[in-house]
Amino acid sequence: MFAKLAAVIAVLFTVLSIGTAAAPLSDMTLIAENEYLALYINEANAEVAVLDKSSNQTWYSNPQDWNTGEKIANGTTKNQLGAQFIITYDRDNSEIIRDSYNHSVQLGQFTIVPIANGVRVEYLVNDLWQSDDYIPQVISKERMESVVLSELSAKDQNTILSNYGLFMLVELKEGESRVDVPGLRVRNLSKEKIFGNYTLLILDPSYQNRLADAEALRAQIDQLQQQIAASPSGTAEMEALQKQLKSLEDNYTKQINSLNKEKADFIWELLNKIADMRVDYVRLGLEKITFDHVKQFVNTPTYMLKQTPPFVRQNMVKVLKTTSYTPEDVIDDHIANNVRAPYPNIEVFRIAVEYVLDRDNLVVRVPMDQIEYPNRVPDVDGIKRTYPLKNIKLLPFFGAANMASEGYLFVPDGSGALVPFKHDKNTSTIVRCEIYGRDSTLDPLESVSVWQRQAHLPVFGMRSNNSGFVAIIEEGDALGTIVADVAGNRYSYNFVYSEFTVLNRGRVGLDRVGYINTYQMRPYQGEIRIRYKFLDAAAADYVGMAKYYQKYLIDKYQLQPTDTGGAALFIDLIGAITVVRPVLGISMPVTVPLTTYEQAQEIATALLNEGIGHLYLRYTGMLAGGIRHRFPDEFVPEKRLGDRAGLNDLLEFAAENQMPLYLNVDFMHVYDQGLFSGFSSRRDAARLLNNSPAVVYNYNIATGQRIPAGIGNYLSPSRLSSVINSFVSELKPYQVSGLSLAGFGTEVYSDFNKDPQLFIDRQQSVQILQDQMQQLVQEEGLDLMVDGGNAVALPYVSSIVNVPLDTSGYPIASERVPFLPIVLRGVFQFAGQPLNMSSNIRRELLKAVEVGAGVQFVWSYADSSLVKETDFDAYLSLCYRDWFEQAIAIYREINKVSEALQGARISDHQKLAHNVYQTRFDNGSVVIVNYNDYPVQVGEIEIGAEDYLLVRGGI
Amino acid sequence: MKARCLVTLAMTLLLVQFWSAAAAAAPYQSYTYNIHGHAVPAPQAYEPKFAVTGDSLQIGSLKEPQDIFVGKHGIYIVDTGNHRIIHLDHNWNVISVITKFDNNGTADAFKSPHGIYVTDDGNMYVADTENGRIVILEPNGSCVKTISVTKSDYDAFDQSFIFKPTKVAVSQLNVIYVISRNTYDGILTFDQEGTFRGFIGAPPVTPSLADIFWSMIATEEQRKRMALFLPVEYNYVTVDQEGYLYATEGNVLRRLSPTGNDLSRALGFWEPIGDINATPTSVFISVAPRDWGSYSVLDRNRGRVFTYDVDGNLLYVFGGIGNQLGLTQTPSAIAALGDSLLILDSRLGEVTVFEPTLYAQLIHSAIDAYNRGDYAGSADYWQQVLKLNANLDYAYSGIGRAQMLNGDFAAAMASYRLGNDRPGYSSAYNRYRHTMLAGSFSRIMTTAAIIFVVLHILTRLGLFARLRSRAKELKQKLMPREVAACRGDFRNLHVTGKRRLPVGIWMTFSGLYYSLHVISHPFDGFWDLKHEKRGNLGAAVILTALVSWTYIFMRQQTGFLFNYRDITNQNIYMDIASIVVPMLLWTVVNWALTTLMDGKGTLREIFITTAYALTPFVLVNIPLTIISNYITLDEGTFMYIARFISLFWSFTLLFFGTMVVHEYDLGKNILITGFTVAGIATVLFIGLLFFNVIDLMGAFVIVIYRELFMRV
Repeated sequence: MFAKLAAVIAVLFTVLSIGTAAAPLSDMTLIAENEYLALYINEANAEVAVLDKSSNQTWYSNPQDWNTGEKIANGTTKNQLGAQFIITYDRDNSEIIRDSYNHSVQLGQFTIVPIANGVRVEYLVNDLWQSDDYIPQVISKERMESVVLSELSAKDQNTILSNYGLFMLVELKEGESRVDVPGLRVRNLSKEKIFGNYTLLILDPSYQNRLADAEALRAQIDQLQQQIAASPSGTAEMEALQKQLKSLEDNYTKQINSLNKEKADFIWELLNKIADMRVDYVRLGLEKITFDHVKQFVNTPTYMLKQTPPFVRQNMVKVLKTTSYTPEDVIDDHIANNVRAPYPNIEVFRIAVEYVLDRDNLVVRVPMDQIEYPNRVPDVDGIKRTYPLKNIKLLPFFGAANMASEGYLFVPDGSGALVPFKHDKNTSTIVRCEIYGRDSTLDPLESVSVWQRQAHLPVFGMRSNNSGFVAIIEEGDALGTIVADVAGNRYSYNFVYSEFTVLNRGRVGLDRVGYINTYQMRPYQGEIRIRYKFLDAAAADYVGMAKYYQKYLIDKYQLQPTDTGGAALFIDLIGAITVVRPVLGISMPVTVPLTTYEQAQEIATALLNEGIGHLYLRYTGMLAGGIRHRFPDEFVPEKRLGDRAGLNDLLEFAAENQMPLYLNVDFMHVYDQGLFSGFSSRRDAARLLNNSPAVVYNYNIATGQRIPAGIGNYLSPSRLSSVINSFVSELKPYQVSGLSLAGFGTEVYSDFNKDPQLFIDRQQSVQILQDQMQQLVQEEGLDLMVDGGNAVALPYVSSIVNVPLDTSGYPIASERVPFLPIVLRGVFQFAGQPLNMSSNIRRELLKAVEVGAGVQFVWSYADSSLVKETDFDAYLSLCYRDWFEQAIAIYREINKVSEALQGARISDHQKLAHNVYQTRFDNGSVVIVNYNDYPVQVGEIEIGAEDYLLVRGGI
Repeated sequence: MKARCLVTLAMTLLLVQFWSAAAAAAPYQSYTYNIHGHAVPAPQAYEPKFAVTGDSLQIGSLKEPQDIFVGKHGIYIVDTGNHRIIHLDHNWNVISVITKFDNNGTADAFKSPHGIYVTDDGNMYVADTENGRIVILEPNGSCVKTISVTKSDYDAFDQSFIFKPTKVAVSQLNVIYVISRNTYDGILTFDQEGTFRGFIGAPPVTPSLADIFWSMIATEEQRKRMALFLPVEYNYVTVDQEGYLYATEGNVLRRLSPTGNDLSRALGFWEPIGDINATPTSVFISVAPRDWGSYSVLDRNRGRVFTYDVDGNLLYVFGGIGNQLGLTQTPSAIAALGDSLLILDSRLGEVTVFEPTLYAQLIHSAIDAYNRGDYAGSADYWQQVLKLNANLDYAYSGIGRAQMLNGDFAAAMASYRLGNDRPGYSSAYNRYRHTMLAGSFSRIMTTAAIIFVVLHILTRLGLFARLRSRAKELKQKLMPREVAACRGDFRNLHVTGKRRLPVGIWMTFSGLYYSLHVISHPFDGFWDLKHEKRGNLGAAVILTALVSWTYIFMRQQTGFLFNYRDITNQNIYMDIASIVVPMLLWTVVNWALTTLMDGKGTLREIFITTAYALTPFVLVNIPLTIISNYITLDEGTFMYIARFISLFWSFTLLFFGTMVVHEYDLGKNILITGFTVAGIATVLFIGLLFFNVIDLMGAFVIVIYRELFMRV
């Protein structure tokens, strides 16, 4: 599948429309174009824009007026609006947030590379060099002049040179003494050892001038001395001369001392710079300096940076940055002069973002394998450091709409939810939807407090004024969390994006003293790919988005619609459960049958006799051990439900009546931990980040606290294939036509094994699930059913139950829309939660009618009281006799609707009034549903309280 | 001006939207508590319908509202932060917003009012907290009277007493009940004139010995203070239609008579304390009285509403903390509007209206039918409740009651058993057994007579004598030659028998058999046990196993009426350990002490003695456990007596057995028994210490391992 996708990307659209449209974007450069779209990039800040030619609408990666338009955020936070991505990484125990604008574009650390049909922007995040790293400490005069000064004006030259001292080493003249350097004496260092037969000569003009002055004075003194020697002694004239001599000598001594001190300081400074030199970045130390370290100065005039205050250095850096002289050149010069070379900042990240036009889509990619992050890189002290890159928020402000805009954000929470740009809720919460729910193998939650629906689809979108876009996460979806926020909360813009957790962090408790962080083996290695489709005024709403996504799925996977008209009645039969009962005083797990094979057939017969056309039977808990059945590495039906012939009878009965029958099997969770179960948690269980086997927990429904004793383990995705293969191989003697894969439509989890061979990230896990489902469908010819409806499973299944038909009801995402049902309708047979477990059957029924869904019941033959005081007490209303007649009545009601729809897809859906919705199907039928407990008037017709109106197609 | 009009229009539209059912499921999980204190799933009882804010009422946001009251004349919200009372009709139309009132000709206002009660004639009683008074307003908003009390009014008041009324309630007899902040003496009562009449509702203090001692040496003045110190700080009070008071304090709700007698009932599995076994515990802050003495009480900690019937049976739970519709952030009060419940959220300044689902309506109907005397109708409703929730014990009891009245005792037993209703089951079983016995009296008597006659004839024919001699023969055939020789039973040696048992097994079984002799003849029994080697280690080990098994059997198979254990949580190893460990400890400690005090018993002998001494425990409790399945609660006393006898018998045997085996006199044996018990305590203490150290070391090793292998 990956290969196919890659091919789609590779066969890039080559037909470019000739006669490029005049750029509507003044500061942007056209970089790719096809007949649908034109891609522009701003070379100054790497912002990207796409012109949708059909609607003539331009979409920007960042709001164009953020500098002036942003009223709420300021400083770095405000600048984030200019970013194409925001990353999060760990520095020890603190979490650091960096973005492409503040920490790359502003530093000029990005490169724009045109690629086929698009552009690639390579970012380097965080300053590679510290500011001082631009300033050479010691540099030969020749290099200084040729490389640095040549590019500078006289004024700038002066700015630089005024902070340097020029010197060189010259051969010691006969009898000349070296300058006494204070520190050297203290350390008992030998001047001879360091300077050998050479002495340091300061070549600064001012120093030279003063030296000349002193020499002149010396000459004067010499002259005076000769004069005194020539004059007779004891005279007054003599005394005057003597006095003059003394004053001159004093003056000379002062001058020469001052010069010597200056020189001594100079040498001390130089030696220290050299002493600081590192051989493999270990400090050399003054005592180790030998002539070898300084011999390059012999007869070579060289500049040395004098002590300068920081603000002066800042000025110098400013000047130096205008030249082509870089810290890399500084390194060369420093190495040449045996001075410590600047060490590049290791805390830097290299990330590339690619924008490619693919027909009428904009595809944005982040190739993760090309991401560079500091992973065991030695720092300046030689300590190996890792700054794990955990999270990437990609194009957080793509299409961001300002406060004046009208529209909404779409998030895939449950059935789908809208975040209206303007709302009256007094809240500062943002909406976060973890795609495919939480990863079960992350550290298990201590408690659950928030009631929420799952996001099953990797899709988000926006309607802004009269246009919109829908974004489909094609790769990296399992790592994604969709985030939506409205203007007035953190920013003055409405925006929706997805962030990707590419590396998970876990915590290992250390007794009571604290914890240490532990990370997954390696970051995600695939790529992150989001496909944006721009919608014109006619399609720029959630229905348009859903229809586009449906079309996308159908085209990509060549899906065949399974709906043939008529409502589907899904019956989930519970076979057996395990309860603990005393046997001779000893508590033992005992399997209690709730629906035997024969009874299942009896229920099905009764339903068929009532004329139910589309009966979909799922048989849960028919494997040995019941619902929490034994490790399914072989197919063992529960004996207490009947013998093999009984099971075959049931399967044959289903085949004869063309009634799909799905045997429910749970490959993901292993409950049977017996010695001979064939399962070893050490070998077969998925691991948590702390490398312990992942445990399935229950939570106290009153307090939300985790119940410490786990009830099972998660099977490692790496073992899935062999378990499924051996299970399926034993199905041969039976006429099994369908399997229901528990968890495949609701769960995706990683295996954070510390063994790199066994480690499986969440995206790899998606691939494994898909491979398995594909094999079951294509090689085994099985019909598949899942719960929930994660996009992972959609290409391979024909029916889906427990599809969410409502949302979590977050304050700002309170508007429920049937996005998921619109995608499913007409392609899959699906139903929501079991009606007999819902608190308001009428409402659930109306929800099914609204989107043309089927209905589901979960039943047992035995009395419901058998589940009381067992682990399965959530099945609190189970007995089929309690529900049979009501189910028939409900089925007849929705069947009337479904027959009118004849497998049609949804073409439009809108809210007519509060709690009144109208759905239009593409065969022309219309359903109007009134959820209110009072009648409403729609046009001429009154719709009763909690009722609906069906208008058949063609009328 | 025009813009303002538009805004008003928009508001009105918004308002209309609120008055209808939400199309979404409730964002919380409903549950109930079963007999083991486990929260078990239940269907939603109430679902949020809509939320009312000050803005939606067009009266400006509510600020920290603290109380809501529903009366005959409408809904009243105490908007504490805005110092006003909002009066709405039952359809949420604003009738008036009271910010000022006429107090004897002067304009007056509230200051942080916290509570309100409205009588059926429409008079409003407002707890005007910061003004330290109760304000009584007529329906038209003019002030009738203000009530206040100072410490000089009542000599029992604490010196620091300041009247800060937070909640107020009024009975039909116009007695005014007030909760004042920082008052620990109970509920203040005032008569209709506003005269303070004292406190009610403080629970009687049961003085400890220390209290009595201190009061004896205290001065008159101090004694007076002490007598009044009844630490109870109620935070809510209200009065229901029948005049009963409901007052809350922590997770305690008291239902009081108008004179302050505590009429609270806790006949459910658990006291009505909100969440069971939860930390932190529930904190009740408001009560809504419901029909037939039921009440809904609001828990501030988890934002939940618990509804109990008059007996304290938990009916249903709903609500939670969060930010979706139906969840609250800081709940402050609850009120019932017909079947709907209104929850006031002081942080969000909104009232959420909850509507009962079918499930809750059925429960209400069932209770209503029962209280009206329509037991069959009640059972029908309970049957429908059960259809929706197979986990609700109370519903099974409800059905059981009706089945009892119909005389269907067997069915009633099954229902009561499912409902874990032991008194109900007991009486149903009693009646069932009675009818069974009465119905088949002649059959039973005939059977008994036939058995008697047959036995008599068989005895006459000498069948039993023959059987006995056969058994003797068999015994001789099985007896190992060595044993026969040892006993000097030379005749036996000539008996031909190929299947003679090995000596070890024979000895073990005869040792086991001997235990029956020991328990009835302790002195010579134990003497022979030691000196004649009549007992042996094998038999003792089997006896220990039997004792352990009996204990497990007892815990699991004791009849439903006497067994409250959650069998799913049985830990068989713990059960065995709780028998074997004390036995071994006794043996070892006793041996260690007696070797120092010239006891004659060896370790082996002490263990054998101990095991033999526990024989009555096995002999009595196995049949007793079986019998317990066939008796009623009243007859349970006999079972407990028999169980006590078995233990007393065993310990007596143990005492005398020890005495005999060590050849001690009575005094010394008492002494050594005491020492042994003390020794066992010491060993346990050291053992715990040791395990603690081991545990710490283990944790240390784990930490080291994690540091080494998990650190990146």
